[in-house]
Amino acid sequence: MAPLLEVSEVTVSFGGVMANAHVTLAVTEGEVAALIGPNGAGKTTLFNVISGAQVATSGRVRFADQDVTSLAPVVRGRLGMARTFQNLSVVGSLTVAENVGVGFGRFRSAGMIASMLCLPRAVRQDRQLSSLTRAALRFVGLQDVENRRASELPYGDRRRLELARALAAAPRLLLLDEPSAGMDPAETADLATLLRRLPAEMGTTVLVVEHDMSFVRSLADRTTVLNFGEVIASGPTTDVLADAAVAEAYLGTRKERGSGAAG
Amino acid sequence: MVNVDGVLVGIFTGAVYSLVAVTITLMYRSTGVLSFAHAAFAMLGAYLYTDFSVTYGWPAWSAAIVAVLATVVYGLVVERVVIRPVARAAPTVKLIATLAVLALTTGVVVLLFGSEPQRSPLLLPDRNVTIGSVSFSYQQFAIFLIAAAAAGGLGLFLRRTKFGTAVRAAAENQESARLMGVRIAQVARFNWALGALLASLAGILIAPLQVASAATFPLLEVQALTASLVGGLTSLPLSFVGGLVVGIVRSLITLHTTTAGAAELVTLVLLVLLLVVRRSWASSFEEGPAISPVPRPYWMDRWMSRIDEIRRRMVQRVVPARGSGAGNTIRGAARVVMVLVAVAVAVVVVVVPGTSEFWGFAGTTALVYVLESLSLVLLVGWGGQVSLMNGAYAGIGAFSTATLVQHSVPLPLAVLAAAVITMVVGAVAGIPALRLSGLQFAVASVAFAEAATSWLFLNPHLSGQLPRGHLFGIDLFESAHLYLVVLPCTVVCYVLVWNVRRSSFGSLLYKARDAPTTLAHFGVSPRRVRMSAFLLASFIAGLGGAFYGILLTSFQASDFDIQLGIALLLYSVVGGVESLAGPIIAGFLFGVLPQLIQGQSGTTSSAWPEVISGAVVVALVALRPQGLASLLPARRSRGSGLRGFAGSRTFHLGRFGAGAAEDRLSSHPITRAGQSIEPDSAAGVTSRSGEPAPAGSEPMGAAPDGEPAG
Repeated sequence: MAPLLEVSEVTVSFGGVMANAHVTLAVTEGEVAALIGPNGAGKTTLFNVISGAQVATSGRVRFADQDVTSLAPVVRGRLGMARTFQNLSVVGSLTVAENVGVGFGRFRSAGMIASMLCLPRAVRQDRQLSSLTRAALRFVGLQDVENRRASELPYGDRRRLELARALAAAPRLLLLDEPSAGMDPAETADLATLLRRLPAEMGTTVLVVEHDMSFVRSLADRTTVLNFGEVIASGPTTDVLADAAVAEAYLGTRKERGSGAAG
Repeated sequence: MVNVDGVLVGIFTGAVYSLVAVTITLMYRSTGVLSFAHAAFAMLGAYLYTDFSVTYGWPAWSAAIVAVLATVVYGLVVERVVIRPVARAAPTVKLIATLAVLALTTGVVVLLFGSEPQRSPLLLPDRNVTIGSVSFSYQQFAIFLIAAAAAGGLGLFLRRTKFGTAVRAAAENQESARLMGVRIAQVARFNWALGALLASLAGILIAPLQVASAATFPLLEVQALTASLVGGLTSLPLSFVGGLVVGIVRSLITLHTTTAGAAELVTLVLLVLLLVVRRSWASSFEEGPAISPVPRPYWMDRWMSRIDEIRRRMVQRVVPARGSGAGNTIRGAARVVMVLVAVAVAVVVVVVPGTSEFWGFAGTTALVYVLESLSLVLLVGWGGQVSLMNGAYAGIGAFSTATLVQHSVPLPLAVLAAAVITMVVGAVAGIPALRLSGLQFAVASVAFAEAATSWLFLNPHLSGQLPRGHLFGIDLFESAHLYLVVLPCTVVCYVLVWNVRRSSFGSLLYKARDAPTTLAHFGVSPRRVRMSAFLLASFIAGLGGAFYGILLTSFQASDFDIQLGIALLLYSVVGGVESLAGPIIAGFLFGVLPQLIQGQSGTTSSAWPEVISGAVVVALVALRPQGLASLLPARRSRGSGLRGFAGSRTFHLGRFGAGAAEDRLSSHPITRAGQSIEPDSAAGVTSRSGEPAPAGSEPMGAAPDGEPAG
């Protein structure tokens, strides 16, 4: 079976700087994969290439048996790719529930005219959306704040809101950009448990960009390590984290590995 | 040869545009303000000069000097009172602030000097210079020289002097410039003083060359803006050249065609082309709400929060928190009172305008403003794009209706067709416009409005006569009857827009405004969402225009000029451009109140609405960027998002249109995932006690209101 996501030989250069150099990566359906690397290793750039926010200088991206290299983010979203953002992009003036509702966008078939005239189709869809929204919020534990404005939420809850919104899109592939940033260790552990359940319960494959090594260890089946835009290791998480080159890239020469590497 | 002469004439008429363009560019470059106040400065300078020299008989030179000095002082006042409070606001907020200055100044000028065109004496001796076969007055020559000197001199000044470097540094990055010891306030003051000086000079110099009226100067501003765009709003020499280019193009066109407004049309095309070619200047603007909160000085903040506190207490006293028994009684009582008030208002709204011609006229005017503001709420408030072309849309609606009626189309059909025509024009204008953002869109809308008034509406095939006839057996000869026809149409439009906001489409619209890229990642095209809103907005604007036409019975192009566009925008900003209460406030304030002030016998047109709206916007932009509607008690306006989703608070207009299959939604995996979760462990993230709602079954309208937790 072909992998769900296949990144082959992707190179991105900004002027003379190579953010990604011949990166090859594959994510199989149903797994939780992680992409790690020190600051400036090109993780977010690769993420943007996958989701379509950044055009690769060369190389190809295949998703769900289609070449998506030159497709716009909108099309990738419709194919079942969803992502969260490192610097949150929740709309503060909307309520928590309304923010999640945006995630269902690709399922809406009722346009503005139907909404405006309150055609039964639109009303039914909106009703369905609202119960699905509740389900999504319950899934991440935000069900009690659904009617508050997103701007009133603390940072960690906004991260969770982003996750709920991404789940609302029922993605085949969920791209998470540093989901644990700004969370305390207990919350991070909870998040890992939550994400582990996604493949089985929602049929969602997860690719996560992370800093926090203990989080990755408890979460990912497979891990790819980037350093200076190149893949330096890839494979089952435990093997990769034991790799000497990885330890060196992350921790210099000190033989000390631990959590709290997050920035 | 004719063309050489045409070019020469163009160069000398274009010099005026150059002169204003140079200051607009400098202002934009160094303070980030795209200023329409320059038109106000030119106007004020010209009118003061005329008044001093004609009415008081002062010598031309002293009149000119005093007028320029007075305008410079005015420019400094504008900087201090209007611009500085919004220094850190979004660029579009600053634009609206300068528009308010323009409206206020226009209003005051018209009140003081009347709206009749003015003739003023030449400043320089009435002698001519002859180049080839064309002769130019000294005055035209002087304009050219001053413009060239301003462009060159300012360029040198910015490069060679220390203060010039400070100005450029402030333009690049205000914060770091401040840290380097540049006094930002001083830079801004310098810019506004200089802008007022050069603009008033331009006004004084051109006033005698043409018959100047209050409408002349916004036109001048549009040409100057086009010229500035040639320079990408950054280059002073190119802005100067741009003015000449615009002048030459216009002069050649007037030589070769007699079609009225052809020059304006070409200016529009030129401007849109420039916007597309010179896109870089927009890159410095982030997308976002058109009306965003403005960081306020501390004292103002304290003052405003005190008001908010008082308001909150008052609301609490009237509507106590639920739970307590006494509270519920009072709550019930409050509800009864509110229902009674609503009924009373409804009775007044329906009955009073029916009582007399005067009230009928006032009421219908108010409804037209409600419709136009509603359209602007969609465009500006929710779409995030400042539009000055609603006046033109109204014009398209009015002229289409009149023309169709003249071709013996029944009136109701004509009104509907006019709205659809406006929507089509809106689509044509909107497709390129949606690629633009913020200020660019505003500039394009100005050019569109200008081309509509001076070209489209002058088309001889269009009719501006709309005798009122019968509609569904109601004769519309009385405004009171017209009111009763327009009222239900307005209510329907209002409900439609309400539904858009309440439905999940509404949140997509907000998202398209605030975070378009995110929306795209979720498989929804932000451009399509915005386009839908744009179409609805132009439809409503056209409908409003059609009713306005019926109300006026006879109208001409100048009734729908850019000043109407500016006025409509300011009216809705005053009402509150993000709130659905806004249009109602705007309709009452500017449709009914002016009529009340003038009394039943007064003339119908007056400058007071412009003065009031300008002044109120000047105050609001700093204090309450969300408009007057934000002063109303916040009735969980968005807090009930889910109930809105469920449709319980949306109005049902019909049950037609059998629904499509509920497709993928009913098999959404989140329901499976959701059901497998124990309610109290709530995904194990945090234990929050939430009642487990059975997914997919419960109509949300029946769900309890979300009590904000924590």
